[in-house]
Amino acid sequence: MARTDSRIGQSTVIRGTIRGAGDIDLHGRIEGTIDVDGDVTVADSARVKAPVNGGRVVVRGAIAGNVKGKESVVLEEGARVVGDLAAPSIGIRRGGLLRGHVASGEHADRAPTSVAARATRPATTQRTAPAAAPSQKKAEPKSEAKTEAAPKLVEPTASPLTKPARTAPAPVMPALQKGAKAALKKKAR
Amino acid sequence: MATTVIGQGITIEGEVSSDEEVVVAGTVRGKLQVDGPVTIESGGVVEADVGATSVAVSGTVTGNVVASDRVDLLTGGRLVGDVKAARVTIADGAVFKGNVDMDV
Repeated sequence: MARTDSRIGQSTVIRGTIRGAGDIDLHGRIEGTIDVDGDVTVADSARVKAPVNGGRVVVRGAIAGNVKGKESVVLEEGARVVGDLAAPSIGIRRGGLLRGHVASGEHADRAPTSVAARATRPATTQRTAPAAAPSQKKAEPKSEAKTEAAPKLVEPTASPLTKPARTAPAPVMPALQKGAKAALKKKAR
Repeated sequence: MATTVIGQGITIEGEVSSDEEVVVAGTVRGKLQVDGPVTIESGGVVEADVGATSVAVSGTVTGNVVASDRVDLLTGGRLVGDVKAARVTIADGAVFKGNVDMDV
């Protein structure tokens, strides 16, 4: 097919959806979604903030988003991907950086159910722990975190004690019994 | 070849902005803002407001076109919308519906 290949130049910014048939070379900035049947090449100057779906995807630039290839996904030198990779064939060359989940071969199609479901549960607890740790190291948030955590621990134990005081203060005057007023009047006479 | 080419079969929905030449052989819907020349090739479809230094239309444009330099509606081109440019040419056989504003 004599299609003109598509090319998004270095100084071009696209906000929105790119879809259709044909190969595409990305050199610029794309925010949105990329859904193409043909080959997708993300050049080293490209900054992609979008899920990328293509036939064969070759990455030498930066992608924030999941990358899915019907045939293959290859991260070459200079690739920086934050997101999950899924394709029947996946390659990460020396110098390619990735933070995310990889599902290749037969797992590519059912990655979210089988592999990822098992992997994400421990991963989420692991991921949240390092994420919280650096913020506590910044001195000030640490004390905040402690003060925040402390009342939470104290409250449940303290609340049963404080509750009676909250409802109504104990009467200062003793409540008069039935007939007490009449008795007082009799005494006064 | 420091250009942007939106090839045949590719559709972009959204905002395209660039500082270099843009060639549209596919479809663009939304907005096309280029600090450079724009060429809409035969078969190219632009359903968007177009801003550029110069615009050459051999395909179909639906939307207003503003060019700092010139707009050329070439043979086989089809333009529905208002045109604002210093110079405008409309070739024999081109289809055009809209207003022309040429800073008289």
